[in-house]
Amino acid sequence: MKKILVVTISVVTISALFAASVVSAQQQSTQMTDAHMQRIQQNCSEAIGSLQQIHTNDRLVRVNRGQAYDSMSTKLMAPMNSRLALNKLDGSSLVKITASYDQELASFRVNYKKYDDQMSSVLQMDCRRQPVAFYDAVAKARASRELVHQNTLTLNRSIIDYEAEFVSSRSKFEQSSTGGSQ
Amino acid sequence: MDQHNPHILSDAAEDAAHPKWAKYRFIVLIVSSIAIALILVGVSLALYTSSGTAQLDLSRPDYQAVRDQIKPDDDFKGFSASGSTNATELDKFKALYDARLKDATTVEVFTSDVLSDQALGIDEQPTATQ
Repeated sequence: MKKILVVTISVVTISALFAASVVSAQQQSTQMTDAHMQRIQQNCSEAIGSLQQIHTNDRLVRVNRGQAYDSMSTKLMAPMNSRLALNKLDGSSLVKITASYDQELASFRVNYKKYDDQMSSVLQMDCRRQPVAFYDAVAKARASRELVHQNTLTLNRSIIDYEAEFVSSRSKFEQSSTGGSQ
Repeated sequence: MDQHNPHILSDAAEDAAHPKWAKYRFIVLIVSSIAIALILVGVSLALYTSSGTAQLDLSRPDYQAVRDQIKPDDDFKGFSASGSTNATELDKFKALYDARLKDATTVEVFTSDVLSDQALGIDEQPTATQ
């Protein structure tokens, strides 16, 4: 008797979960109207052309901006922090900003890779045959791109913060330098 | 009457000295060389894609149009890590930093509006009829 009860409960639970997943899938697919799907199919080649252009330009921006971000850290921030340390000056606040900047730069690289992979998969899709999947993939690419955008905003903020901190501490550094040389 | 000739090997010894595959050794050499080369190419391609280098590689034919727009970074020497922190040196740093700051922050990049449904023409209703 107990066994039958356990089996019945299991069957009911599995059926309920299956039904819920089917309903959820149906709701997702019915979110897009036929007119909308038709519009995607009609504008498919233009959309792919635009996406290809965006993808190409993004790579150029990634290379140029990546170099600029990288050199900010390796050729300016890190040498300045080292010089302050060698001169026995307190540059801890600048080091802190550099550390968070480097962390954000690493995140930028990872997020860009994810975004680029997503864009590549979008470009490989057949939007005439799979308009819904194409639309969802574009939405995912947009979300990934937004993460990269947020990374760039945070990096820009760190660059500006470093400059502001440098300007505010500058007199202290100069005084210490003058005091040390006397 | 069979006499043992020390210069003639027995079949087993002959097989050991010259295994059957030995006559194919040139083919084995070529096939194994190709197999090793293919494995190494596979490993390097996997590293090429997984490390993110593929995303920075503009040498492929698809990127010929934008290749000349790459800003070379080699001529930027940066700031020296050694030296004093007098006003001249700090001014020098500030000038270098400001120039770089301008390059890195003036234009907002990777905004998601270029991938919007409207921009790609995949929105629900045409914008012209709205």
